[in-house]
Amino acid sequence: MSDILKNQPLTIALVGNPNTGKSTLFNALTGLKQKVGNYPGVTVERKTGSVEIDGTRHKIIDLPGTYSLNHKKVDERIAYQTLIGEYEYEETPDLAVLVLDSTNLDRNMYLATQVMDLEIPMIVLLNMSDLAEERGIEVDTNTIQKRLGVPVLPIVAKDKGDIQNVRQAIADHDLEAPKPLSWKPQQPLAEAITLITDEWLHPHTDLPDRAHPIEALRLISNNQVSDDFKNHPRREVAEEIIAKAQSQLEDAGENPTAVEVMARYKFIEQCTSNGNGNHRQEESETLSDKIDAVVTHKFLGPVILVAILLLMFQAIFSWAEPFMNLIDLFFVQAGNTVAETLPPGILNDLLVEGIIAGLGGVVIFLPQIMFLFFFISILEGTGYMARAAFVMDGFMTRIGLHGRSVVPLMSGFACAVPGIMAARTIESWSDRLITIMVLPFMACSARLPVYALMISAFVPNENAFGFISMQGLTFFGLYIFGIVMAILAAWVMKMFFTDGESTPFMMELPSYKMPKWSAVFYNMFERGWIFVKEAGKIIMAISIVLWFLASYPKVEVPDSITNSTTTTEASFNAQESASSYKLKHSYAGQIGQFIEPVIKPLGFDWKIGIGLITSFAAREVMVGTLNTIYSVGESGGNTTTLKQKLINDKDPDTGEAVFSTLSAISLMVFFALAMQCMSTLAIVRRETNSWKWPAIMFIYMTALAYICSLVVYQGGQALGW
Amino acid sequence: MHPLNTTEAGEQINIQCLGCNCQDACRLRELGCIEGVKGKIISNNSNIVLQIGESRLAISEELARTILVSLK
Ligand SMILES: Nc1nc2c(ncn2[C@@H]2O[C@H](COP(=O)(O)OP(=O)(O)O)[C@@H](O)[C@H]2O)c(=O)[nH]1
Ligand SMILES: [Mg+2]
Repeated sequence: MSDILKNQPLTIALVGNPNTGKSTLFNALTGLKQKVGNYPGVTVERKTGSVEIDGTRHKIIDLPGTYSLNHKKVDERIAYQTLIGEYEYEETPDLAVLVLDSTNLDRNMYLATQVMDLEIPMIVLLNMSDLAEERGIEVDTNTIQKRLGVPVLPIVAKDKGDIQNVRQAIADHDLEAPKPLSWKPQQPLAEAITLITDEWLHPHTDLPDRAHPIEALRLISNNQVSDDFKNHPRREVAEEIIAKAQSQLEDAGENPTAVEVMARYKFIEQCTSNGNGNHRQEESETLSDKIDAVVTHKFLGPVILVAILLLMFQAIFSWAEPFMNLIDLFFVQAGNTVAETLPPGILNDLLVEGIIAGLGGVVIFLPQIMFLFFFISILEGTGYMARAAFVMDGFMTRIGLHGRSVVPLMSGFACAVPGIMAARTIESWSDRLITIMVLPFMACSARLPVYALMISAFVPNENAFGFISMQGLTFFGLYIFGIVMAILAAWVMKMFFTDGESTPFMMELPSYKMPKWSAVFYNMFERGWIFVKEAGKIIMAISIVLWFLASYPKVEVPDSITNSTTTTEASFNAQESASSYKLKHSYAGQIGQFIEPVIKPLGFDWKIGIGLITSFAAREVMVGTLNTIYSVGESGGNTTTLKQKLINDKDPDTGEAVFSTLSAISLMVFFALAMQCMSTLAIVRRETNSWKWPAIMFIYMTALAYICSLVVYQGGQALGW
Repeated sequence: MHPLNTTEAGEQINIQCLGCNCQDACRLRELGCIEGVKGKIISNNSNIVLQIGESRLAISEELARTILVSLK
């Protein structure tokens, strides 16, 4: 490094195709000194960190993986915009570190030739050289270095010595930028580039000069480009010049959409071919060929995928349960201890029922989230995830989703929170957003207690057609109902999000590998921590608000309720009716009564109204709230008693039963659809980086729930049920 | 020349023409699936898995119909 630049902190960008080892390298270089966040405005994950070399602290950005700089997809655009210094708050990087996969150099070099055009100083790392060697692929580093004119280094990102070499290469870099177009486009392409640069980009746009060649090439090859200039005052000029350049190429016998790629690949061929050719030998069918033939099979593929996912969720459920019980126990204990040590009063209540309970409500999610990411990291790390996505893609794109939506959606059956976090594996922003927005329709396990209560109380325990239990059928129906609504909602949303991202029907299948265990565990803990840190705050805050609504104002419980009995069993009941009395008169109770006119048409009374409010903390709280309102002693064998009370509950004025099978179904429909989960909203806010999407989610889901329940209840009544 | 979707596992092919729309064609080319390049069919169960050089591409049947190849 020249003396002036020595010790100057640099911004270094890691660039490369997906799966080339950028993140591995990033972690190795930064150690644990890194930050995970979102790119402002989108959900593409952004990692920055720092690396100290010779006493200078440099900033490193891990850019989203991309195959080229041409594309309209958000992730790819971010890589491009960051590199040319057009990205929101980002300065142009001082150094681009290209991470290429040595086992697949030709394809990876394509991006390298594009980045070179941007005149950013760069280092090329030929990663995975261990795999290349293993497979007998010869890589001629010298030729590549000579042709590219930038430092080229074969490395293994997992190797400490190699990382040291990378640090050295950064320290030694003279920060000379490569010349643009050093892949030497021939005529007539070169002429077309000059034409567009001189007559359009230079005089009429404010793009930085360094972006001119690549922008010119993009304009030449892409027919739909005029969209970009929709609002440009001199739009016709652009169109005219582009058309002129394209027709010049056509006259010279070139296909404008192919000519750039061809020219780059021709240059790449000169870099990488060393006489022997670096292509793999025409060997017989390998093991991975055989595996791929099965797992991408049209029928077997989905079957295998579903089997793997079922096993995975089964494991998540059973492994997470003991941890969840422990966490539950711990927070109950902690609550009791605090309740006993502190003098009774507001502080005691706030700590025990607000803060400790709220904290417990956050931490309880951790086991599921961490186990889910343990498995997802393995699916990704082995290379199977890409196959799974491909197999499901045909079906999923038809309903407006993406092949990769399968895993998040299926996780949604356990809990929407980890499911929404898992949506990160979907690269396209619009697909990811739609997946997130419909995911809470999947019947999560928190709905189970409510379904179980309502079904056991109001669905007759009879068999349909002699052998199918009506209760089981209702359960099944509710699951299917959730899935169907998710599909419909996705389909509708796809119509709103036509942002020009055509879903690719092609994808690269990375080669099978053993997952890197340290990365698997790292990922697992990182996700857990992000959840606690980001969503935890919001969940805590809402818990405290809900606690406040349910506990205030404090009312004096009339003596007739507290002092009526003496035996222990009965005094337990008395205590329960005291809390029932308090809840009725709390703000939550008042709101419940206030909204009764609104929910009456759905067949709900004010007691359900309170439940709807408190269950915003978590859906299963509904059962606890009803327990309290109906003053059910837990000693009397939980839901059976509540069930009886629900069935027997009569309207004091009319004497009619408050609940009927119809109103129970209406309630279950409401629970299936309504957005009643603050943790979900909190995680959506974190994952979409704005309050807009959680707000839309809350409104559309709750409105849909209201309408569907209304139709069910009113329709049912009209039919005389 | 045949459309890619009519090939069979194990066959060696030569990509002749990308007849799909321009954006998909660009994408395919970036992934290394370029006119004139050799490849090998790994599997064809209506979805095609195609080996080109060291990269393995999965291509849906719909897209495969628009890619013309010659057999070797
Ligand atoms: N054999 C080998 N595997 C590697 C090397 N570098 C990364 N990997 C593995 O390649 C996979 C993809 O790496 P990752 O860092 O996630 O790639 P990214 O998508 O570019 O961020 C992971 O399973 C890594 O463990 C390497 O030098 N050699
Ligand atoms: Mg990565």
